[in-house]
Amino acid sequence: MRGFVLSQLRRGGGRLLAAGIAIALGSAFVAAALLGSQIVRTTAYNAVSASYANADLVVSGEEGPLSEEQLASVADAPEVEVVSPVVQLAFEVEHQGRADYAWGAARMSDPRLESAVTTSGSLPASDAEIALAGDTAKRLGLQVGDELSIANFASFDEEPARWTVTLTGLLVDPAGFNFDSPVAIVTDSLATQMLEARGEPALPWRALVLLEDDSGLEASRDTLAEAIPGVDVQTVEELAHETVTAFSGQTDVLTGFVLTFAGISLVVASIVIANTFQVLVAQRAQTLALLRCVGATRRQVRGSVLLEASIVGLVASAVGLAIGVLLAQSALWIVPTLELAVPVPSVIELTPAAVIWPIAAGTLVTVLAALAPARVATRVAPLAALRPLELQPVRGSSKVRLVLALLGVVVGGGILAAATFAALATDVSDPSLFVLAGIFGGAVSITGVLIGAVYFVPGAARWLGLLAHRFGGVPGKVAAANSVRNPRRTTATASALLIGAGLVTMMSTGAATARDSLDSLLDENFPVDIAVNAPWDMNGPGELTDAQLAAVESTEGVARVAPVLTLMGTASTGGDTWSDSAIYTIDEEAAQEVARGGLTLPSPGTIAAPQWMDVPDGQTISLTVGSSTIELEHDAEAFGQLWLASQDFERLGGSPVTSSLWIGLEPGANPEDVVSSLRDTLTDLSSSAGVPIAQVEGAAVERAGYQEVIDTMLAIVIGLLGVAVIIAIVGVANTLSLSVIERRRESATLRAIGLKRGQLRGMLAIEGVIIAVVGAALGAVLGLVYGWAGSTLLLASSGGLRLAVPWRDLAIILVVALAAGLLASVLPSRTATRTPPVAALAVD
Amino acid sequence: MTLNDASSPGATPAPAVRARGLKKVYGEGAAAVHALAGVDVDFQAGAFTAIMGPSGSGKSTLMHLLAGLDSATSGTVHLGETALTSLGDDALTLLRRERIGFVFQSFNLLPMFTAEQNILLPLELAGAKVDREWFDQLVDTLALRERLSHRPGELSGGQQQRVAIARALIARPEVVFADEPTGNLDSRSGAEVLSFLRRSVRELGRTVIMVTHDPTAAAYADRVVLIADGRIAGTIEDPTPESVLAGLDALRTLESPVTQAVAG
Repeated sequence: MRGFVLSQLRRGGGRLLAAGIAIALGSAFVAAALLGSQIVRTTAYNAVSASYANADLVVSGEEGPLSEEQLASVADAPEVEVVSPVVQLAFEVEHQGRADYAWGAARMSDPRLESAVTTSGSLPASDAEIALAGDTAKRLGLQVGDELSIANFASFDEEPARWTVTLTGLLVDPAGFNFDSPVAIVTDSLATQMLEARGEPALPWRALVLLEDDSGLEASRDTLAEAIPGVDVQTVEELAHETVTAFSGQTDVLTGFVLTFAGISLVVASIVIANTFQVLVAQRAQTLALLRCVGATRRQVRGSVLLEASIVGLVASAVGLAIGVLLAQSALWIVPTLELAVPVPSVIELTPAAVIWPIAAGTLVTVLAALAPARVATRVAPLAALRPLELQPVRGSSKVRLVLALLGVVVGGGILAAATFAALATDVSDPSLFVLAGIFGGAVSITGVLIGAVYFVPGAARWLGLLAHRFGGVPGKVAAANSVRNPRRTTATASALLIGAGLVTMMSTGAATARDSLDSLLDENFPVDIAVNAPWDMNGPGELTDAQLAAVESTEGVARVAPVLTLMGTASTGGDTWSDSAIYTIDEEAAQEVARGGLTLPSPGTIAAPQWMDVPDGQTISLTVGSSTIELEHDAEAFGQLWLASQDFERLGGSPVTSSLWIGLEPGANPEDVVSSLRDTLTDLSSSAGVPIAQVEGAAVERAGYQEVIDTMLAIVIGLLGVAVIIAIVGVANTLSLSVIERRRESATLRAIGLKRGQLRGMLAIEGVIIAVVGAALGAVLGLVYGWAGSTLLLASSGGLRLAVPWRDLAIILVVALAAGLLASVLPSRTATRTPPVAALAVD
Repeated sequence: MTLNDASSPGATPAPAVRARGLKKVYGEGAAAVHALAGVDVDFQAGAFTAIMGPSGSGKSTLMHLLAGLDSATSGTVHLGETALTSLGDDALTLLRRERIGFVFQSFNLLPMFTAEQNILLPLELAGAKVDREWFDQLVDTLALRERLSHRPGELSGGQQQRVAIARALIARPEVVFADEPTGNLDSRSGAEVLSFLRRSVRELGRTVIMVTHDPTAAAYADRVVLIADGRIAGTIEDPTPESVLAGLDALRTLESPVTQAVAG
């Protein structure tokens, strides 16, 4: 039997090419994911060990920081050469009005324990010196030699302790893995001063130890731990391992996430494989029957198919592994050229897991996919060898299949629908129970849909074929008929694409819905796209200067500016009094011009009180500024927190300040661009004029923030799904080329009776497009429905749910499907047109 | 009946198909096989001609070249006034579409189309209108009226071959090539198909060239062209099964091509 399998492989190897490619892509994905996570782990390990420089041991307090005595005992221990406490602290760095937070560390007592590396200049030598990370220095506009001030954080009413220091060196920017990497280095004594000024003891949590003799690392560790009570002693290796393991929890989640997509690719690949083997078995029916005639048992016939599948699976997975290794290694070659300070390893580490899993998964999937065709092979009767082989009768779909499909769709769909409506109807803050139920229902129902695909995919293909039939001439007619000739195969091929297109659509529907829903939330919370606010100081809202006002007005894209005026006063109602409250107004006409619309400002005689004051609608609130007091009625529908109409505001007198500006954009201006130019303008103005930087806020700002997050996540997920989509396209090409082989005589007949080469090519292109578009379109419809259900489950609780249709993405999916169908037909039609018309006369 | 040199047709109307110096060589050098070693032959319009010869004689190759399905190594083929040997693939395809019909041994109907769709396929390819009268005449002559909505899978071999004949004739081609049309049929259906082919020549005025190795089938033709070792070995006018057999026997016993009359 082995000889038979090998000869079949030699003869029909080409027919297995597509299946091989599919499985190789899938296992390459698995390999790349595993190798990638290994790289992340190694990199993290390197980064962690680097932060301990040349230390041999790390001492830490068992409970809380290390005491003076403990440190002294460590230093006195005979094995210890040097010990240096690790002192870390956060502070503020400030230069010419620009401030930044800095995570700082003190210099180590011995240069061998120092992990900080400078790119230029040197580490601080005196208490009046500091070294900063390159990025931090750049943000503050600092160069080596410049003076800056550093300050402890202080509470509102307290002037913080402040030191003036000179920048002596720039540190390598910590990037990628932020394991306590400091962005500022000061001397040990300055750090102590700063900590003491806060009233905190300058006690370190950890100390690094250099041993006299590092040959007996473990022994010295144990001796030290026993000699000094209340301390933990670890080797650097142990500590790095521990840190990385804690961090790995996150990488494992990430790896699992990526592997899920690798799994989807393998499922899609299995459809391609199953198709291939079904065709191979059908084509070999006569040979198989002959084998049965001469005495092969059913078991042997099945074994031959499965053996062939294992060989194909093994070879293809090995190729896939090689591709994965190559990809991962290329990444390692590319990353260092990006000049990130991530200590990536230079060569990938081939762990047993990274070798075994891709090959095992690829081979297993291939063999599993070949099980059903192998079963079909055993059903070939020995008698079939004696009969001329006619077209394989296409087996009708079984009742079991129908029942399973309906069960899956009805039960799963029911659970999903119930969970969705429950999430909509009830008002729970944590929808995770509904989400879980929804995921379960979704998985069950989509399984049902895929099982039952054979009931609706051919119908859809036939429907689409009507178009080809109507407008495609003879090639269109033949293609339309051919596309549904083998409903099972068409269904399987289209399903592969359905899965890919469905998931892409689901994700982009989710993203679009999240975007629209967040937009609607923002519309409720922000009356304008962009507002410029003066930062609050101890007395309340700050004041925007005329220079700032002028700068904002002259910023490109800004059409109109509506100033918001503020007074500080006292509000009282129903026995409650709020002193030092900010009272606001804006010119009604100007406000309506810049607002997005639907803005209700308080009318004269009314006031909008904030929710936290808990004032019933219509209750009277009295406002007092200086000596004048007015009484107003609370309007719960109006916008703002202590906002009133300008006429009432004027009655209060006092000296109002412009605390913020509402900005109306020129038509066609891009809000995100305006926001960034406003930020630049205001930052420059603040450093040149010495006023605090005004903040730019509003819906546009928020939108830009989350839009980037959503778009990035969507791009990543679609990129990961791309592999599955590519495999599905390979599947379409596979089905077409197998059909071309099967229909060799038919193609030749058509050529003999007058079908041109180009028409034959067109015929296959149409068939490819029908299969691809049916798969993609059904996938898009299902993806839309599941995407809506999913977003409802996730977003219903946060309010503002607005279901969206990602029209642009849907159009892209259809165009891609169209192109994929055409592309998939290129190679098969080359084979087909090479068939000479004479082949029609051949008798087989 | 006589066995004549095929290249001297005598005073008859212009031939439908004409071959001159036709050679076909497969392979190269020592491995070269001369499937056709220089054939001159004419086929009369409005006649039913059978090409006969033993296996490997080159009869199938000759038909492929005459029908423009394959290209000759040297020599010319004319269909009416058109020289096939100078045409490119698209031109040949158009020529086959409009001027030639085919009947295959394995019927070669498209399984997903009904009998009627199969019959009309050549017209659709050409984008030509269906001549209903001609269609009805064909369908009635071939007794297919009841079967038009059936797919090939639901038809017997004889019925399928009749559909194939209708398909070959629907575009009124100048010549129909039939390649062992009875090879896959039982003798009764075979006889039926052959009489239809003969009727289409006698009653419908078509030209049919049939390749066969069956003397009984060849006897339905007006004339038999004998071929052996890639050369024309002779012709038999108004053949009977006996005269064809005798001709074939003569081919086997004589080393050189049969050139003189054989008693019939």
